[in-house]
Amino acid sequence: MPVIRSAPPPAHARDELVRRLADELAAAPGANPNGEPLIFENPLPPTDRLFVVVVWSAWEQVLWGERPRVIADAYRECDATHPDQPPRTPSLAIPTGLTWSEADSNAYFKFAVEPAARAGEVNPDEVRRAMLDEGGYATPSGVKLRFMLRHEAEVAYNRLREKLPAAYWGLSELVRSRD
Amino acid sequence: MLLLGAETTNGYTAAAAERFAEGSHLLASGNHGGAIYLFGYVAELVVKAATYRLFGLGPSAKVEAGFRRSVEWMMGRDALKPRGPHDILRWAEWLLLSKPALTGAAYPLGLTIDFMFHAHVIDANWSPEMRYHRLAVEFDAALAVQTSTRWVMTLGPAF
Repeated sequence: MPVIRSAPPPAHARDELVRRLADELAAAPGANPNGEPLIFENPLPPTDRLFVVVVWSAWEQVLWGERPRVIADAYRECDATHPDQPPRTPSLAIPTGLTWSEADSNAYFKFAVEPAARAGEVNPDEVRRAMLDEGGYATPSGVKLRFMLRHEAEVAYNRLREKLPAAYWGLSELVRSRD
Repeated sequence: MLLLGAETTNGYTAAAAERFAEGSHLLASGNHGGAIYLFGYVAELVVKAATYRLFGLGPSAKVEAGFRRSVEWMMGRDALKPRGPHDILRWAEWLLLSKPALTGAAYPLGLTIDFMFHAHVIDANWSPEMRYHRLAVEFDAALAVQTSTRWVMTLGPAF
C-alpha cells in the first residue's frame, strides 16, 4: 500500500489560481462564454447560501481537500477588490472543485455532444469552432460540450449535424462510473 | 462466543473513542500501519454517526439495515467528490450537503473547508484494504491521519 502524502500546490501557483478564479467571479455573466473555470452557484434551500461547484482543468494540480480553500480565498479576494458590490463570501456554504474527468465520472453534466469522426475525415479546427459556437468550453484537453438538460443537448446536436455532418456527432448520456 | 448488541450511533462514537485510543497506543509503540488502519475506521464511524443523526436517528436508536441502505442510496445520488476507498470523501461531502436541506442552516464555511481537508488527508493515506497487506507506513503519515482523525472526532461536524 503506497503512502500518498497530501501537499498543497506551490504558493505562487496557488495565488495564480485564486486570482484567476476571483477575476472570473468579478466578470460579468457571459463575459467568458467558452472559457474556464466554470462556476455554478447552486442554492441550498431553505437557506440563502450556496453550494458552489467550480469545474476547472487547473484542479488537476490541486488536491481535492485543498480546492475548497482556494475557492473561498477567491471569493474573499473578489469581495476585497470590489468593495462597491455586495459581499459574496457570506453566501458561500460548500465550495467544491471538480476536474472535467471528475465531473464526467460523477455525471455532473448529464449529457455530452462529441464528434466521432476519425482523423482526416474532418478539419479539427472546424469541429472546434462549431463546438465553441454551441457553447462548448475550451480546455487543455480539447473542447467540452456538456449539458445538464437533454433538450439543450438535443438542440445543439441537431444543429451540429446540420452544420458539420462529416464530424459524425454523437449525443451521449453520462452515467456515474463509481456506483 | 462473541455477542454484539444492536448498532447505534452512540455505539459508533463509543467504539470510535476506543479504537482511537488503541490506534494511538500502536502509533506510540512504532506500529504505524496498525495505527493508521484504526484511525481511518474511527473517522468513518464518526462521520457515519453524524450523518445518521442528521437524518433523524436518535443516539440510542438501532441503525437498521434499511435505514443505512436508504441513506447510502441518497448519498450516491447527490455527492460529487471523486471516488475514494470506503469513500470517506463521499460521506464528508454528503454530510455537508444534507445539513442545510434538513435543518435550514449550513455548517460554517470554516468548518466545512477544514472538514473537507481532513477527510482528504485520511482518504489519501488509508483504505480498508490495508488489512490484507503488510504495511510499511512512515510515522509522519500515521501522525497526519491521527491528527485529522482527532479533528474529525473533536471539532468536526456533529449533530
